[in-house]
Amino acid sequence: MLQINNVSKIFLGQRKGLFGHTEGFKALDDVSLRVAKGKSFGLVGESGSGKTTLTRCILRLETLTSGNILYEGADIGKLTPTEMRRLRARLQIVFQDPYASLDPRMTIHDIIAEPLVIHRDIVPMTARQRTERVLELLLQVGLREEHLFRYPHEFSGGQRQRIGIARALAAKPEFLILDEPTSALDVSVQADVLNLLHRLQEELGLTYFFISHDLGVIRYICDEVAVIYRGKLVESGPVEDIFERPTNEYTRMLLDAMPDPDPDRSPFRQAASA
Amino acid sequence: MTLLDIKNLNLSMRSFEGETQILHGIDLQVERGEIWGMVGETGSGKSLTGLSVSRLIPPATGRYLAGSIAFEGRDVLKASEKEMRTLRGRKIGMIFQDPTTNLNPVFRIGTQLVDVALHAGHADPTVLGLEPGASSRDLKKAAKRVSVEMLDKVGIPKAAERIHDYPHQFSGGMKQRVLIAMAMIGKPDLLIADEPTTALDVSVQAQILKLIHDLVAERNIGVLMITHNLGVVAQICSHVAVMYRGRILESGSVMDVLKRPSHVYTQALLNSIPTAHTKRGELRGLGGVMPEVQ
Amino acid sequence: MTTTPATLPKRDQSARLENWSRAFYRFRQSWLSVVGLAIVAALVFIALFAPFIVPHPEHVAGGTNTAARFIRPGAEYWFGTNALGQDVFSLVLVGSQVSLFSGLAVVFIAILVGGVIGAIAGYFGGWIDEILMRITDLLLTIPSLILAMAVAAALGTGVTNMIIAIAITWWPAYARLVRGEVIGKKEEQFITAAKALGAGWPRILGRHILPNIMSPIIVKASLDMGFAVLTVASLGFVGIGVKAPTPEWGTLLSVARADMPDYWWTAVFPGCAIFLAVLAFNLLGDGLRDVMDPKARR
Repeated sequence: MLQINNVSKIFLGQRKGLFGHTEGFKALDDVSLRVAKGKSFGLVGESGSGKTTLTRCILRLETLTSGNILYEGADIGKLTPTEMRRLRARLQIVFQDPYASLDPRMTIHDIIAEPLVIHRDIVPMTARQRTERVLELLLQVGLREEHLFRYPHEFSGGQRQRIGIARALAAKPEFLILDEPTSALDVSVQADVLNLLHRLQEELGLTYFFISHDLGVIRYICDEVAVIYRGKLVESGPVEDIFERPTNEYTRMLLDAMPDPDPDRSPFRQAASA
Repeated sequence: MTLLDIKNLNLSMRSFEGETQILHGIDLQVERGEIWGMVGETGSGKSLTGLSVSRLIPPATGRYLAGSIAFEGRDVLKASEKEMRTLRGRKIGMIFQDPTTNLNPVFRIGTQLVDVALHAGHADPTVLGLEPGASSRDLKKAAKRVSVEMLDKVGIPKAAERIHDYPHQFSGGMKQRVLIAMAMIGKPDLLIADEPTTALDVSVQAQILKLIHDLVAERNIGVLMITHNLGVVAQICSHVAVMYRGRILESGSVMDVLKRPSHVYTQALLNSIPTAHTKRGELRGLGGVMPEVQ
Repeated sequence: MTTTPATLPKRDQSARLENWSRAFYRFRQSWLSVVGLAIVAALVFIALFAPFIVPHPEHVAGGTNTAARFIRPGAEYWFGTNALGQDVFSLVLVGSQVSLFSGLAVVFIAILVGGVIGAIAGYFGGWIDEILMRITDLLLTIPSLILAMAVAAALGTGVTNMIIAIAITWWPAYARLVRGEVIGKKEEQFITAAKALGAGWPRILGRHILPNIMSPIIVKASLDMGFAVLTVASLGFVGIGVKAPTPEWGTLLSVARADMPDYWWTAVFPGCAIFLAVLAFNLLGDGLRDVMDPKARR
C-alpha cells in the first residue's frame, strides 16, 4: 500500500557565502520499506534517528533529496496540489503530544469536524450531518456526548489523544500514521489507547504506520517492524523474528536496555546474584 | 538513625478553585543503601512528596496540614530557611526530569560545577578533601579538581577538557550526567531523583540507571527515585511505594511488591505495561479497578 | 450515518462561562485594573451620551455667553466658564467623543493594516517577509507628530486626516508584534496537524493562528488607546486636528493657555480628563495582560 524506495533526506547546513552551504545533515539515508494493506507496520528508533523526518516526508511536509514514496502506486512527490489534498483525506496522522496537537481555542466539535470541513468536496455533508458524524466518532473512541462543546484544556492526556484519533478518523481514511501516540500518556491510559487502536483497526480495516521508541508498544501493536538508527534502517521483518532472533547489534542492545517490570530480569540483580 | 523518615505527611495546595488536599498521610522510611522507587501516574502526588523533602514547595500555595519529614532526625518542615540551604545540595541532592532546563545555557559546564563545589566547600571544606579552615585559594583549587573528578566519575570522557564546554555542546544524556555530578559533588547522604531518565532514550536510560546504582553501592547513600515507569523500578530499586491520588497504596521490597502485588491497583498497573512478551489483547487499563474519587 | 440521535446536544455554555469567571478572578486580583476598567467604562458611557446629559448643550455647539466669562467653578458651572463664557464641564464631557473616537479609530486601523501585513510576512517568510518588514522599519523611523503636521499641511486639517496620519506611523508596531507571534505559533504542532489534514493557508492563518495570538494584540491595543488619546490631544494642542467649535481636550488646553494662571480651571479640567483617560487605559491594559498572560506577572 505504501512503498518507500531508497529515500534520502539531507538538511542543508548553514548558508556560507552566496551559494555555498556548510556540510549538511543526513537525516535519512537510503531508506526502503513496504507497508501492507490492513497491517500495522512499526518503526522503532531513538531520538534523532530520523523517524519523525520520515513521517514528514510521507505527508509531504518535507521534500525528498532522493528516492520516492509511492502510495498505492502513485508517487507522492509528483502529485498536483489538488491530488495531494485528496490524498490527505485518506492518509491521516495522530501526533505524539496530545497537549500541543489540538488548537486550544477550538471546541472538540470543531476540532473533530475540521477534516470534514476541509474536505467537504470529497465528503459532502450538511452542518447537521457533520455534527452527527462527530458524535458517532466521539462514541467510537470512548468519549461521551456531553464532551462535544468543551475545550481541549478540560480533558486529560488520554482523552485528548482519543480526540486526536477521532479527528484523524473523521474523513474515513484508510491509512493512519501514529507518531508516538502514547508516549506522553500514563501506562494505564496507554493500555486503553492501544486497545482502542486494536479495536478500530479490526472494525475499520485500517492500515497503521506506527512510530515509537518503546519496543513493548511496538511488539503489542505491530505485525512488521523496522529499526532505524541514524537515518538508516538496520533491520526489518516480522515482529516475532526481530524480537526473538534479532540479528543486528543495535537491535539487540535496544532489546536489552528495555526496562522490564519483572525484577528478575534486572541486569543489576542478575549481576549481583551471579 | 533512619536517614529519611516521612510520617503522616498531609499537604494541601491552594489554587483558583480553592484549597485541595493533595497528600493524604504519606509514610515512608528510607535507609542508607536503599533505592526507593516512588511510582504513580500523573497527579498521584509523587513529585510533590519529593519536593517536600527539600522543602521546595512555595509556602504561598502549599500548606502542611499534619505530619513530619525527619532527615537524620531533624524535622525538615520546622527547619529555618538558613538550615534548609545547608541541607539542600550538601546533605540532600536533587536531580530533575529535564536536563536541558536545569543547566544555565550561558555558563560553562565547569563554572556551574565549581560554583556548586565552592558552595559546598565553604560550608564544609572536608567535602573537597581539605582541612577545616582552609584558605579560599585552596578551596578554589580543590573545587576545580573535585569538579573534574566528579565529571570523570559520571562517565564524561576527557572531563578535564569538556569542563570548558557550554551545555548546548552536550547531548541530553551527558547533561543528565552533569546534573548528577552536580547533585553528588556535595557528597549528599540522600539523593532525590525526579523522573531522571524520562526525557532520555532507552539506551541512555540504562547507562544513567547504572550510574545511580553504582553511586549507591560506592557511597552508601539513600535514593528516592520518583518515576512513572515500573520497568525502571524493577531494574534498579530495592524498595517501592505505589502512589495513587496522594496515598501510598502499597510499599515494601521490590521483590514482594512487583512479584506478589497485594493491591489491585498495583496489579492493574503491572498488567497495563506492554513488555517484549505481551501478546495482543493481553493489556488491561485500569478499567474501573479504582473507584472514581473526585 | 447509521444512527440519527433524536436531539443533538446543545452548545454547552458552562465551559465558556467558567473561562470567563476564571479570567475575571485573575483580573480582580489587582484592584488598580478594576479601577482602570471602571474609568474606561465611565468614559465610554460619557462619550456616548454626552450631548444628552451636559447642562449647557448650546455652548458645545459654539454658543457663547459673554456676560458669564471666567466664572469660578461652583454650583452653577461645576468646572467654571472660559473666556467665551462657555461651560467648561459641558466642553470637557463632549470633548471625550473626539478623543475616544479618534483613539479607537487609530488603533483599529493600525491593527487591521499591521495585522494583515505582519501575518503575511510572518507566515510566508522569505523575500515577502524581507520586503514587508523593511517597509515597516522605514515607517517606524517617522515620528507621528511630524508626519501628522505634514499631512495636515498637505491635505488640510481635520479629524480624518489626523487619524490617517497617526495610523500610518502606528501600524508598523502591530505588524512587528503580529509577525513575531505568527512565527512563534506556526511551529506549533496543532498547525502541523492542520496542514496534515489538508488545510490551506487562509484557513490555517485565519482559523488557527490568529485566534491564538489575539491576547497580546488586545493588550497592546488597550495600552495604545491611552497613547492615542494623548497623541490626539497633542495634535489638538498644536492646532492640527479638530476644528473649532467642536470641543476637544487638546484644543481646550491650547486655548486655555492664554488664561493661565489666573483662570486655572479652564486648563486644569481638560488636562485632568486627558490624564484620567490615559491612566485608565494603561491600568486596563496591565490588568488584561495579567489575565491573558499570567506568566508576565511580577
